[in-house]
Amino acid sequence: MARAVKEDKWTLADLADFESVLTSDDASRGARRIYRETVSPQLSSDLDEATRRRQGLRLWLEAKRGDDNLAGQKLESGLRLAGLVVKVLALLAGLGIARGLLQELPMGGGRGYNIWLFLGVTLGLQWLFLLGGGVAWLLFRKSGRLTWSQELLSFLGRKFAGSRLGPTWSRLIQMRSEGYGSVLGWRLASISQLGAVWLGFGIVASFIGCLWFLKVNFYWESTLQSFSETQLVRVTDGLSLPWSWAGEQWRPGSYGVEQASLEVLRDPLRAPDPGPEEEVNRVWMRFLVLAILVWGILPRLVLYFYCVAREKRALASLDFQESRHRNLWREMAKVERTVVKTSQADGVVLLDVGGSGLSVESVRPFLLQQLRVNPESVHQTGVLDASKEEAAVEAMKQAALGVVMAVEGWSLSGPQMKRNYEMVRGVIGEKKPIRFLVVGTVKGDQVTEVDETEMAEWVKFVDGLRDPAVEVVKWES
Amino acid sequence: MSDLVPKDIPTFAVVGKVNMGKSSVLATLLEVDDDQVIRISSTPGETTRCQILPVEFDGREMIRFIDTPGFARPLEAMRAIEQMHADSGASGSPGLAAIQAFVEEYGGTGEFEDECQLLGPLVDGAGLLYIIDPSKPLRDTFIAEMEILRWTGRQRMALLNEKGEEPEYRDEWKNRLGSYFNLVRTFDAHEARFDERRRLLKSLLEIDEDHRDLIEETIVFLEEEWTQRREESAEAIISFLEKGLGYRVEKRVEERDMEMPHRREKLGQELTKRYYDQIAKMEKETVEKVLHLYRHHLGRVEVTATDFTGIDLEQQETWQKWGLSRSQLAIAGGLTGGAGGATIDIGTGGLTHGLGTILGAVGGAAAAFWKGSELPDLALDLQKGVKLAHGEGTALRLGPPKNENFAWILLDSVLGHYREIVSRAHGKREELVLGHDSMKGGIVQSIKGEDRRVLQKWFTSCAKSKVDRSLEPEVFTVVSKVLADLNRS
Repeated sequence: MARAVKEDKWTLADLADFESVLTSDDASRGARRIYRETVSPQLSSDLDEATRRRQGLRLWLEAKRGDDNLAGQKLESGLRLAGLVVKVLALLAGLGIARGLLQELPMGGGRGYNIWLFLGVTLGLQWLFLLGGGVAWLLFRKSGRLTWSQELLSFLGRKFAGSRLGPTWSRLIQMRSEGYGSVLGWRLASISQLGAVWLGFGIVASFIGCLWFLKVNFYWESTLQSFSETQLVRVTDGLSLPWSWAGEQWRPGSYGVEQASLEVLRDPLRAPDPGPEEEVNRVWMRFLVLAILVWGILPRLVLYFYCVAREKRALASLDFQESRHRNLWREMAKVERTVVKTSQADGVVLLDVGGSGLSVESVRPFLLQQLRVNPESVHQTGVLDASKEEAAVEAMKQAALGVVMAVEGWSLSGPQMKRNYEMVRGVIGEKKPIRFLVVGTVKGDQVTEVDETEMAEWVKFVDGLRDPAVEVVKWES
Repeated sequence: MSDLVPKDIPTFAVVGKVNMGKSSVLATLLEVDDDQVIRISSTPGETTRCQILPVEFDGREMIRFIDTPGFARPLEAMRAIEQMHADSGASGSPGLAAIQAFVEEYGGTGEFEDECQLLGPLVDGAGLLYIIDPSKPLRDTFIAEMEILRWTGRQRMALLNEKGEEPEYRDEWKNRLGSYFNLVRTFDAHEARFDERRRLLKSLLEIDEDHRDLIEETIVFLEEEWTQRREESAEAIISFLEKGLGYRVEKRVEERDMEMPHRREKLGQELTKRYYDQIAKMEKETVEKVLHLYRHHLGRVEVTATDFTGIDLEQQETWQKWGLSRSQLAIAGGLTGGAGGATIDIGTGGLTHGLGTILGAVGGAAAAFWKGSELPDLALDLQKGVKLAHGEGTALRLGPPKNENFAWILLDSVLGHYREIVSRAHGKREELVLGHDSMKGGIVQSIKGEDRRVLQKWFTSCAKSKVDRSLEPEVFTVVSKVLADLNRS
């Protein structure tokens, strides 16, 4: 029965452990046994192949992962530390940006935020980076390359995780899921989005802090027509669209923009309707905080959750089709068909007594059909060459069904033949059969039949041996 | 039941007249080309006694086949059985009891030795596969055999072991076999491939209902094993291509070697030969690995350096025989070049108005079309300041060929060998020679579109010794797909 789905979900830490275990020397040891005993019983038979592989490898990891395997923990702690560093730096940067943008008013008498500059730095630059990052992702997502922020985070994370994790880290960077990209890449992307969120928090915190502790005004000025009052009204109206339903106190509108113009601030009598300065400032304050929240922090939060979701989808869709994964899965799940090795066990050694040059093929059909034995090899005995005798002895030891001694009918010499018989019997033991195959004469490939007189002598000789496991047969063409 | 026919394992006795191809059928079915295990020859009576041939997976016997000696004297045997049946006082035609009595009477006496051997497993309960060569005329001896087998009462399947096309007596056989056997199937032991073997095993389900689960499980295992082999073959091929394309031959050279033309030429020839010798060796090792995977022991790989140095890419015939055709190569080069150019267009935000894509495509296509028509021409790299075994010096590094079709030629070659291996039946006993001369190439020309683009990109990365690992899963999928198509063709 399949385990609950939740338990089978891969995490980034699991992947790190997996890659780490895979590189160890004994990675594939016992893989088959683990598959049989642990993995296969827990895999449902109606799963598709990709899911079987994914779940199967996870179960293998569970079985193989020891207490001393800390790769996953190191990876997570390295990433957490890198994330913390990024958040702190971003927060500090945000605090610094908002404080740094607060300037002395050009006409003197206090401090103020240049609205164009404030919006440009806190929102414009962020969106520039966002769009640039989006284009880079579109360009490089198939190539597997990381963006600069991901590279930086990767560098930090790898440093914090420890140098030993280097090879595992590199493999995780390359590990991709079809349609969902790099698993580790999405984690790095989510960390960078979170960094941008904290940047926004820093800006808001510092901005509110400045408002709290200092007297702050809001103004704008520009020489260029493209940054004129009309344009600023359009920008503020556009930015405040999401909360335009909340009322006029949350968006400056044309009045607020006009009142914040530096020319008006310098000479209030020039304004058609000079309004209370404090009220205008409060409207700008609310507008700018909301703008940073909605256009600075919120998109980054959305992207953060998007990255987290993509990371989860990538992990859930891993196909484990790298060659090392395929090799492991194949080792685990392979079916091994035993090589058929059984033979007919009808092999005999053909002994050419006297070295007539008898060929196996000339007598083989007869031996198969009449004696039901297969001459596996032919050796010579009763010859001058001692090495041939030795080879014959070695071969006889392996013969399943004994020995066939091929003799020429005219060559019967009782004592000599008896010695040959005793030698063979000594090698093959008492029980294996010995057959005397009597032919006439062997001339090259030609073999003749023995005549009846000679055959009768051979029958008499064999009978005289008094061995029930010996027989004499006349070869017939 | 007996030792020959266990109760819990589906067992099938393969019977028939001598020289009908019983052993060939089994050798092909079980993928055994070793004469030490299953002897096949034109000599009648090669099988002298019953031989158990199990199909085992992970040490577990799933199906058992029994190769038997052929009917030697079926007419006399039939008469003897009828006589024994009549003598026993029974009426009607003989049945299993009569067969059993016959085996008990004559077994071990030397009389009807072959018939007793082959009927023994049937008496013990084995299923029956009767092998016939339909190129042989239907004679009374065959009818006697079929009668005897019908008397056993066992579930029976007849197998027409067709050797070649349109055997002369096939229709006559089919008509007669239908009245004696539950099932009649065709199987060419010399040409059968995996699909035919699987079909035959599925047919066994129809004559052995009792062991249905085990037979079905065996078929599933065989299918998994076949897929496994294909995947391992794909791995071997990919590994060969990666090593082959990334291979460089290197030699330390003196300044004067490079300055004098005849020395330079001699050096080039020496290194070129060495390069292609190694490529040939790699290909041979890969093909031998595939032979081993598919359990072929009678294959001999003949690939030498001259197989590559002799390829003349000026010849139109060569373009048709090996690798991609000229236009296909140009398209592959154009697609890869265009993809690179598109990156530039996107990177400039469209300011180049698609010029990057166009130039990349045209340049890639032109380079592929015209670059290096001579295959043996290897890329040359002179590296100074190289640390060698004898101190610092200059090394001449050669490889791979400048011609972009080289990778496709390598792939085509090894796919051609693969096709021959998977279509070779184990029942054949003549040597399988795998070389370039006899091989039909042009397989890669059927690889289309995105698959070709992926391979081309990966080849390029291998040739630059910077293998793009991120492409490996796709490359594996493409190669596996091609091998699967070759299995089906």
